[in-house]
Amino acid sequence: MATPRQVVEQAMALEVPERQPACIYGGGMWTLRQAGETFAGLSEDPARMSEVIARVARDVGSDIVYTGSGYNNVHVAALGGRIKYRQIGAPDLEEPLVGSIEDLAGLKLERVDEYVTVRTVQETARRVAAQIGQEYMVTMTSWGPFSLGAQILGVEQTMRGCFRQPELVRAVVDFAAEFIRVFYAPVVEDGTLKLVSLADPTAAGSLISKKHYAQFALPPLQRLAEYFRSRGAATLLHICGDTQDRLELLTESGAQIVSIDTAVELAAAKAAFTGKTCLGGNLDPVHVLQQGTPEEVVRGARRCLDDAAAGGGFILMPGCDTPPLTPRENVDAFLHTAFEYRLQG
Amino acid sequence: MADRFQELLEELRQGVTEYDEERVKVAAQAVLDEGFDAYDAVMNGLAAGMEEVGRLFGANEYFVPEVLMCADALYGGLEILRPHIEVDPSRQVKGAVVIGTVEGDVHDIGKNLVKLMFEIAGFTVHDLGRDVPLEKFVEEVLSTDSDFLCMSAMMTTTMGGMKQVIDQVRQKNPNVKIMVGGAPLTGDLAQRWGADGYGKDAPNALQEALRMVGSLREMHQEAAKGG
Repeated sequence: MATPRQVVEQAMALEVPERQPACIYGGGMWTLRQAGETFAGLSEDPARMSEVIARVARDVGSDIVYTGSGYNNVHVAALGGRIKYRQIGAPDLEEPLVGSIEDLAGLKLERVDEYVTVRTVQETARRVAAQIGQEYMVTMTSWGPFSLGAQILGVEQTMRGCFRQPELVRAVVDFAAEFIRVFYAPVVEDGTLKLVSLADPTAAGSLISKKHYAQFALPPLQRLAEYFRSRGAATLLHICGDTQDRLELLTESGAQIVSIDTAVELAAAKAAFTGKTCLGGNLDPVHVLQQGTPEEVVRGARRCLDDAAAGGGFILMPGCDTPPLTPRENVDAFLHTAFEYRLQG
Repeated sequence: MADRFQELLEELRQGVTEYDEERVKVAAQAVLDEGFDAYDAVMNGLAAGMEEVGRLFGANEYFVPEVLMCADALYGGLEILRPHIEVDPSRQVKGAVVIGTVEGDVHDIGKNLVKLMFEIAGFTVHDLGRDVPLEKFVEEVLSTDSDFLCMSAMMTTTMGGMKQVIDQVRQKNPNVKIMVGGAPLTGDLAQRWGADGYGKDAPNALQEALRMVGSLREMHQEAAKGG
């Protein structure tokens, strides 16, 4: 029987997998909560963090295992950003880091690997991959270049900058892409990761136009995906909001898997992606996965599968990060609906 | 004369919708130089333009960068016209609003768009910013005697804070109209939590607020009758 990792690889190769793959998208905070832990408590302890993640992963059985998600905001602390931790939700960067192109020179990429949380996340990925990487598809996540750039520059300044200071936005997003490359390089170059996960919520269809997406968000994403590919790792891109008007562009991102938001019609995405890119999606993570009954989760998951599973090239996922307070029985219902689904060629 | 004013109003409207700040400033100055009414120019020129922007945003034709640029163009005109608006009781502001994103949540771009819509429509806005401690909402609503409270959250981990604030505000002043918004919310949830309105997006939030203004007025009228 195929392993979870093999069915993901089959879907990525746009084949009909031996069984339908499914995963909890992200779910970093959810995973730690299952073990009664917090990120702040483990952020300097890769041994314990990897033990927790591998144990929960084996127990839950998601085909893709995230070794670090929900802490994307912490990465830029390596550049000097101040972080505010929370009891339940994801930590936040308190203030933007730059206001001009000149300010970028003050951010030292060579120091990124020295930052303890970055090292913990990288080391956790190595340890989780060593423990369960043969069986599961292990990934690590960060923001995509546009979202990270918007965090570095400030969201509102980035939005206005699309018109007023396109050179600044481009420079900051390019810098962000380089940060992401440096962040992943040690665990991609040593063969730990065969799948890199990028989330790009600020490039969402609800925030910027297709034109700005093509102008600012897409080119650095393509360069990153090409770099990962050249090192033997695939890219999983998640994009929030309604991206129905730019599905074609998403297939040009270079990502082997594109995971879409609940706001997009899954059948339309499947039609646009067929033969090009593996599709992931898109059960409503809040109103169904977290707040629904297990029966509602099964019904919702089946609808997604009926819309997109035939012919392969599809992984069942929630339409965004798995909320930390999602009941375990809903996650079980979600995954098992896929695992038991009868796939048609 | 009337034709010329219509022409200037159209310039203001188009300058806003096409985010042409220079064009708006030139038209606003012409309104003053040629002796037309500044208030009329704001409401039927600038604000009318922004109403169209709201429609374009709702229809996914404009996105956040476009809306911010339109707002900049509008403010360019407003700075010129506002000092010349005569104070008239019939032109009083519609009400006061307290607005912010709830504790734990730093996602404020949606909140800022809603704030903008309120300001343009003539409300007095008390913006508490982002990551606002829950008790701060309650204090601010009471100390400013505001008619409205608007809160937003973008995360499932923070949205529950809104229900707590709603309960506390209701205990202290049941007449305050409360509106909530943000990606993980639905109208159903807003209703279950006891909110008066749910803003799906910025233009929709303003529409909801205007609907609530209507019900506030009725309430005041009934109170006056009763008194």
